[in-house]
Amino acid sequence: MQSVLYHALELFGLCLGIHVLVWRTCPVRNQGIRLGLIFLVLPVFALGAGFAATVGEIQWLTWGLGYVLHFALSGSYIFFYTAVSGASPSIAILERVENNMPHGLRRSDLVPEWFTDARLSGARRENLLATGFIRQSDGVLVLSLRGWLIAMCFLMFRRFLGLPDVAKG
Amino acid sequence: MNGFRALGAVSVSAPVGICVAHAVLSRVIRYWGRRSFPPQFVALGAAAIVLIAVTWVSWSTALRYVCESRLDVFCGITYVLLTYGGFSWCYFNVLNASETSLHVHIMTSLLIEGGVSAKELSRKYSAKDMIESRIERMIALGQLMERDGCFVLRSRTLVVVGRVINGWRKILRLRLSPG
Repeated sequence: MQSVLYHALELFGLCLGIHVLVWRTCPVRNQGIRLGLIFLVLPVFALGAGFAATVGEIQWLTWGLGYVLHFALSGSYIFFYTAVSGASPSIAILERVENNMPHGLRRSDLVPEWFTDARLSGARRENLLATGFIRQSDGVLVLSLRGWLIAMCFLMFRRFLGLPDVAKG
Repeated sequence: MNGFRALGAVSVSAPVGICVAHAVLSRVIRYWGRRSFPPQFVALGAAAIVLIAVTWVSWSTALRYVCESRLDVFCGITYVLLTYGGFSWCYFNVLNASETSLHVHIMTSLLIEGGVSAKELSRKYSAKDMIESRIERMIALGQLMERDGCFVLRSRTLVVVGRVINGWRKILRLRLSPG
């Protein structure tokens, strides 16, 4: 078990190091694709090379288990990264309140200046259009096939959990 | 080697276990009449229940057979906890996206209602309404409270999370805030 744990942690640490290095040295474009390459594709080659070098000594199951842990940690990091790369309105509100403690803030003062329709729903709509999840047809926004599949997965997931189809926001 | 196979199977199937436990727990809570309970709390409860089951099954089907020393046992349990923790965090984020992500809200609304004009969408997801629902949620999650007409912090958890995120943004040389 020791080798499984050590291999997985070394692999994740190596991928994290490469990610930091790439982000600090190159202008970041196509962040999702780059993250996927670094954390999910590159380790398959690394594990393949490791397996080929030690075949006969360590069973492939050890490497497979190591990859499962690496995959869980990488998935966690990729989800964390979505918070790092985007802006969270909730955290921005809480930071404003914290700066005005102990008195706090009135409701009208809670909202930062950059909370505009264009920056919130407008930016998201443009992003969905640019990435091809929705398209405009005769002035009306409709889902593309890719968008329909993702929306359907979320809808089924929420119905399975017994939650309303759309949350409050 | 069968122990390794069992450990892999338990680790990979854990997120399904959390999802099923979450579905059962949310229905039990609704049956008791607690409709306003935040789904994020229910998910944490489900993950805690499944953690006990996963640790027990991992030990009885795998770790007790493949671990040969105390250090091995420690590494085995650490492996189970890290893998389970990682998958639980992924599950929690998928749930959170379905609750709070505007991208997901827009796509789900389009799925249910069919086509919507850009103007109608902007009206439906106005900044004002979004902020109101976020304030309500932060009160429900115990982060914010109203006192003498002013909002004050009830918990610093999300503020600390915000600081960690900003620290990591500095390391990656990303912009700190859109404001």
